[in-house]
Amino acid sequence: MTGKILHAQLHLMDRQLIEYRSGALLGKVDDVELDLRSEIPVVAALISGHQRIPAADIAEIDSAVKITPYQLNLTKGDDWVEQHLIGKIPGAGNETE
Amino acid sequence: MLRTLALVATLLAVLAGCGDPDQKMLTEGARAARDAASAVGTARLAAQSALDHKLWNAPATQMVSDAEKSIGKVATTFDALQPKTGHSRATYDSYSKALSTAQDEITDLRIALTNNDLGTVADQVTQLQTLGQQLHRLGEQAK
Amino acid sequence: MKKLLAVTLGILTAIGGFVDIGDLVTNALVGARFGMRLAWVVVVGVIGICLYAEMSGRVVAMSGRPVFDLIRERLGRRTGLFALIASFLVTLLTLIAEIGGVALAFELASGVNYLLWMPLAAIAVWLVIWRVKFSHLEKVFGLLGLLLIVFAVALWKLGPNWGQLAHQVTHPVPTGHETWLTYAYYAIALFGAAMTPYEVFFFSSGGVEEKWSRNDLGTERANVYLGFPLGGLLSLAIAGCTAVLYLPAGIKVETLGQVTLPTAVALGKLGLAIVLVGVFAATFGAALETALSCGYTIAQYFGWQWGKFVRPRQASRFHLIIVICLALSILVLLTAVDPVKVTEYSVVFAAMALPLTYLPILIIANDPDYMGESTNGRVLNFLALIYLGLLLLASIAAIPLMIVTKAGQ
Repeated sequence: MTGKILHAQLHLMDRQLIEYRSGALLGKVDDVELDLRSEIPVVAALISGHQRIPAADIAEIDSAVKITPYQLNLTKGDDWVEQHLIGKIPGAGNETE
Repeated sequence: MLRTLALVATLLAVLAGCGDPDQKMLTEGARAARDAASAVGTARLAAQSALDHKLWNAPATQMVSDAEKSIGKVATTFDALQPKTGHSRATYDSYSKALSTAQDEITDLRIALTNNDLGTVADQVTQLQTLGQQLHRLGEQAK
Repeated sequence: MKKLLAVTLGILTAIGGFVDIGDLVTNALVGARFGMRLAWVVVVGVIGICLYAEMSGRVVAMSGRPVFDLIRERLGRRTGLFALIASFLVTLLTLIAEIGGVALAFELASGVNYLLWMPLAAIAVWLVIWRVKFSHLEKVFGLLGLLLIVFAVALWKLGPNWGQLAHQVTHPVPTGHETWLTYAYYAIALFGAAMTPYEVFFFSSGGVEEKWSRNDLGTERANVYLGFPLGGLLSLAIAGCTAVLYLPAGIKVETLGQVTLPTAVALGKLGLAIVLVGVFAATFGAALETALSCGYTIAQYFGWQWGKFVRPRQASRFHLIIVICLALSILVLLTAVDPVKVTEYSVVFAAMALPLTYLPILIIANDPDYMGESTNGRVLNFLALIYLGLLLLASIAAIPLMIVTKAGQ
């Protein structure tokens, strides 16, 4: 961790989560879990929906929070809709022209 | 207590003044006449444009038929009013008659236009011109 | 040279894209009832949308984040949700009105009832969103929408008494049977028509779709500062036509046919044909923008993948929202509700919802964290604050005026 000082309420809460490499949009930061054991509280994890994203997964924080989620699937909702509805429409996998 | 009663009485009198049935009927009639004049004007303008070859048949018929629907609504709403006095009955009758005449003329125009009967269309346009002026005068009888 | 061409194209697109069913109906209606006595509102509204769109465009170019993404960030989850619901409902109502407008244009041209055209229009909107590239759809319909310039030609051809029109502009008071209440109500409607919220959701999301950066700021500003005012002139020309032809005749505008009739009177069949294509392009283009905006707002609030820069299956929830919104539009219009009436309400509700999205953008445009050195200047902030006041006033007054005037009667 870089030890950068951020205002959790302003810089983390309700921010967009982005997959660091692909740029895919993964959700919003709904809550922040703090580790209060150390002298200054540090961010232990980000909560998005029911998922807990450990701080170690955070790659970069600018106007959005970029993460590399190793063992998480944050796009369950999108996947379900894709498999059952949108993916069944012809042309769903094509680039637009 | 007395003062309150007096106030209430005055208020009631004022309210009653606003609710004068003769005036109310005239206001509603004038409003309906203005709306009817709007429909008549639209129908006349569309039909005249069709006669001048400025409009092809489908949109002309559509606009006249829209005007017919619009005046139909105005007439139905006005006819549903309830005249409460002899005077307001007279007002009601005269406005109701004017509205229904205008409605019939627009219907005749729509039929002639749909049948491409241009002679009748031209006649109806002249009729609507006069009717429009008459409705305009009726519309100016009240605020 | 290529750059100049791109800028010109952008400006032309912005002019054509400025006018939608709300502008068409509201300007024609107001021109027929008040003449040019409410022209000042169009000017105020155009300056407002320029401010709002420029700020949003700059925020996108500097932060790479579209409007609704940031609105939740600034307002928090709860207030953000309230802003989302209000903005989404207004945008959905506008979508319904636009699809109704497309269908009415076809009804006028063909004589076949608009209820039959309406599902076709909705399906066509979906197909275009599903298959056509973002930059194409914006350009094609924006440029075709330019045909609405025929209203300006028609106004000139009608040979109006220009002195009288100017007199109306400089005497902004209600006359005849109109009262201050109806005057104020339609002032809010015109304001809402010029500043419809979806325009900014679409514009800012479009910035992300087309990957704007700091270098595109100049182009973006040219589009806004030239395109929107010229679009506003188109709006005034529409009002001018009905002011000349309908106001003296006591004709009130209640149908799309009446909106287009002045061009036929002035220019004949050709004029009407051109205006019908223009109305189709303007309403169909706006239907695309509002349908996309319905998806943009919800997906951006929840952080879901959105946009046409990815394949449809990658933004499946975004596309699902669009399908649902189009299906809802068909259902609502099938009740035979008058699309022109829907339009009249949609512009007033637009004015009501505006402060909810305008305020967070104003705050972010002043935040160096997002904007670096491109925060609002002092003059801009001064103007932006005046508009915040105006927007709040219009928003608060809208419902009471709607009730007192029985929606403008």
